[in-house]
Amino acid sequence: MKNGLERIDKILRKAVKGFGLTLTEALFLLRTEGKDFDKLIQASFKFSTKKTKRIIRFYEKAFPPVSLTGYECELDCNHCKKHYLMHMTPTETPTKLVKVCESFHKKGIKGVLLSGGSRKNGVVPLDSFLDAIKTVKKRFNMFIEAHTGPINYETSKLLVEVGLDAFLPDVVGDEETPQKVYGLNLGPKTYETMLKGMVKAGIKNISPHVCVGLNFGKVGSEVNALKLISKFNPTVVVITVFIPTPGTTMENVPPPKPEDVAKIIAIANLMFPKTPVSLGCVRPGGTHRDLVDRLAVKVGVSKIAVPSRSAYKEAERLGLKVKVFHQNMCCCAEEVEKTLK
Amino acid sequence: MDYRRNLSLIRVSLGTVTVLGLDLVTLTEKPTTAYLQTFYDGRCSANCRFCAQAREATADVYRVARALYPPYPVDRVFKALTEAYKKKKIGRVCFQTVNYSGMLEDLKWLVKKVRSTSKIPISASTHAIPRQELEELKNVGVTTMVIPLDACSKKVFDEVKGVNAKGPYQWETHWKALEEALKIFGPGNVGTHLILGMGETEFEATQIFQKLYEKKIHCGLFAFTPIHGTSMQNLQKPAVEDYRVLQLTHYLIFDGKITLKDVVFDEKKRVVGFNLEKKKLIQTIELGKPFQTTGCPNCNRPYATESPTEVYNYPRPLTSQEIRIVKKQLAKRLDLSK
Repeated sequence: MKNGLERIDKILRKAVKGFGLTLTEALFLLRTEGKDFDKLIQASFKFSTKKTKRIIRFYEKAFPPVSLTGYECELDCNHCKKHYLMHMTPTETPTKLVKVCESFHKKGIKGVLLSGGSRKNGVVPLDSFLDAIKTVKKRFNMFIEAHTGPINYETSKLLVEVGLDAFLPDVVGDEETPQKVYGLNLGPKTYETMLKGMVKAGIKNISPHVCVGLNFGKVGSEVNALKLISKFNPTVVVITVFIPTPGTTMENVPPPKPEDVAKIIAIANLMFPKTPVSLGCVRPGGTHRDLVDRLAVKVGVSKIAVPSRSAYKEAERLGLKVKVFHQNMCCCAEEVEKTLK
Repeated sequence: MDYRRNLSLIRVSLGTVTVLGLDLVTLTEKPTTAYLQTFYDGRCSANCRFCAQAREATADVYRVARALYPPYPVDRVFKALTEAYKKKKIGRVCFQTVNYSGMLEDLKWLVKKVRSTSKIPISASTHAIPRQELEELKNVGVTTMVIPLDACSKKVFDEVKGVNAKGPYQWETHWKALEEALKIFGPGNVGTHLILGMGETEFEATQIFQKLYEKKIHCGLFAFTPIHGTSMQNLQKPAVEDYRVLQLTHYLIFDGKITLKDVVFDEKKRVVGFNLEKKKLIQTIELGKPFQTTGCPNCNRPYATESPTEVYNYPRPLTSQEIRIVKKQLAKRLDLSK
């Protein structure tokens, strides 16, 4: 296909100059295969070296997550079924949150991730913990980041006022995925209003997360999500990968192909000329993880949370300088990084 | 102190969440009353068979009929409430309660807190409570008292809320409490709720309408909604045509146009017509008003009992197209030809 070849060259040439991608261009890149896919990898890697100056950041340990709803979740989505709440420290009361953060602080941990189950409308009940957040910030000066769900401007504002440092909102690019996976009537419009509200509230860091393959393994709307995010100026764009978790409704859904994850990373990389793209900590393990990590390094991802051996090897092969963080550190907290040696 | 009580939280209906601006939720129909429910980290001590929060139900406790009531911090909700009333986004606040020991103290505390910052009309809906408690509720600021009968006859009452449902409630006590409330809050400031479609006859329903009208107790009509996880989950919703007939009867009686004597029943105790000029009847139907939500002033509870495809109570004045639909539904039961 002569025409196709020409088109991909055109798109990549433009993108490498830092002009970003339009939605149709991005969707075209998502369909690339074979030689065109190689071209995309090369262009994305070349472009990323400008952004990262050939330094890739690896985060061995994330900030400890706490669950503001304990082991309970009113929403109980198909992809999680409360499974991931088991990995978090339960802090279902404000007092408990302060106490748990104190113990983190004593261990020298510099930040905490407020997460949890959510209310029936998909929102993490952060507004019940305003005073506790304020106390933690004041007493321990920790970096506090939060999974939010679709919160509005008023809630964002309240959280910014008490000293929250970063929002980590999930963004989905279509109406079908939230309907099928969360059972919620959310759409791109809601997510846009949410992001707008967060920016208006004056949050310092905003790290939108896009989960590849969340729509029962189908890849496509992720590009719409990225385009939506590109209207705002995020601190970092985080790409996570859907994990088929045993015991959930979606346990038998295959995870997205590693190539598709790589394509989404490459598209994000080209679409956000000035923003780092991170491969988040949530992704399947085993061979899949090896493949994803290797391809991610290949397409020039800026950061990887909890990297596998293959990521180190690939970075070495490509001659990248690896900066490893062994202490608890989140890929979304750039300002804490600067204070570390 | 019961550790399951928690006065820092309150359940807020999802529609109210939007109007108060607490979270991002999109809605086509906005409520004109803020619907709240006392928060209790457990089940109700009563056992009404239609209710998700009943003692023996396995349904999710954050449901009231079809609506969802996620918990929110009280301070935030009341602050937003005061502002929404000032901006005329809502005209009333409605406290619904779960029966647990200490509920009335919690309710009084909540009402007092709202009253301290706002003059908003406050409805409180509880089970039958003694005279003294009613007085205290009035003193802290409740303006409208609602004691839901839910059932249209003693038989149905005992079946779904009372002795046969292993529930603590009694038909006579509920009526007594309504009478007491009338004395304390005054006529027009007392209401009840009726759920239609739980096995009562249309004659029984009409009888209750007449009795309530005579006593000047207003009445919110609900279509029975089966909720998964309750013991009535397999009972069908009433046919919308039957519900329309009762809505119309309710309106005609409460408007003083007719009395029980003017309603014509067939041998199955179903309404077949009214002793009313046909022209007047059609005029009344075309108003659309009979099919709007009934209850306390300003209460519209959108989609409390309906899905967007099948509306039982319209939360706002009907459009001409909706009136046409309603007329068609009524024509299946009543003779509306000119």
